[in-house]
Amino acid sequence: MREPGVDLLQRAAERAAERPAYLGWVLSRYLDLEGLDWPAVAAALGRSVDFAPLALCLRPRPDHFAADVRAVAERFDLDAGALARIVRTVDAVDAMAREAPQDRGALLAARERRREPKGDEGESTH
Amino acid sequence: MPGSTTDELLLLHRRLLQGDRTVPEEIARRLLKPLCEEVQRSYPQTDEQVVQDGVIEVVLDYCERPERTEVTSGLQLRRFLAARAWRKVANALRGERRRRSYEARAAAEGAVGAVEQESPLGRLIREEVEAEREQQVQRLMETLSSETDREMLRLRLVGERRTEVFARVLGVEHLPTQEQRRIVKRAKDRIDKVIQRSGGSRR
Repeated sequence: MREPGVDLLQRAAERAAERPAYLGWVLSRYLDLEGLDWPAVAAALGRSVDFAPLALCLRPRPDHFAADVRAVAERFDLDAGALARIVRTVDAVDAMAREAPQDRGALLAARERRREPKGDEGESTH
Repeated sequence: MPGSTTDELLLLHRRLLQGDRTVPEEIARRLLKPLCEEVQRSYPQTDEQVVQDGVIEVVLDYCERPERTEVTSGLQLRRFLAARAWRKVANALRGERRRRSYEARAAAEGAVGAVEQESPLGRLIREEVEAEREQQVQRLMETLSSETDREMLRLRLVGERRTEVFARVLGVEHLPTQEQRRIVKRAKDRIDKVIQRSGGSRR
């Protein structure tokens, strides 16, 4: 049986994923960028954690990055290193997109090319 | 509030102010459901998703910028969030009412004077009148510096007259009725003065 209010939390997490101040936004961006689904990311974080509680946390602050990541990881018993990598990946892609918005299409295209071999057994790109 | 005392809420507020990133999840878990139930009681006929969206937005806003909320007790925090959520839902409903009323009016006008309504000139005139009205409202809104004042004005522009509605916007609904009337009147007078000073007039 589901805990009362779980749907409400889920709904709140979806809203948080639309706000850059929340970890939900970072996670959601990461899922899009890497073309992954949530169970895969949860597994990388070291534990089968639900998206909603994590998404409702605030994004780590740049000036307290390590401490903030550690606090979130401890709260949900996650691999802090994996969480830090996820946040850093999204931060880096966002920073690049901000600096050179005209290159965004090229960046996305490059990512698409990198993903292509996943689906077929042909040669890899180098 | 089940499983959560107001002291615990105050503690969460303080942790949030100190930068604890995990607190919004705890606040959401403790407050979303009771706040939704509380606000829904004021809007028993309203779709529960509209109420939920209002409450969620308010809680997320608060967690994002807790420093904007000065509270000295958990009870005060809860009342503050409930009042904000109430206003948020009121705004959403008002927007929906306006949209429906506009659609109904447009449909009625279409039925009465289909030829005129559909003529390019008629449509142009109507659009110009509406745009001018929108601009006037926008100008009035810009003269007001606080969201509370703008909300008061929005309500007056749609013909709201009930003191209790304005009292909720001002967050004084817990005060005696007489006191609410006095505060609401003072706020309305102040808003009128600001608008007059800026050269605008409320219609």
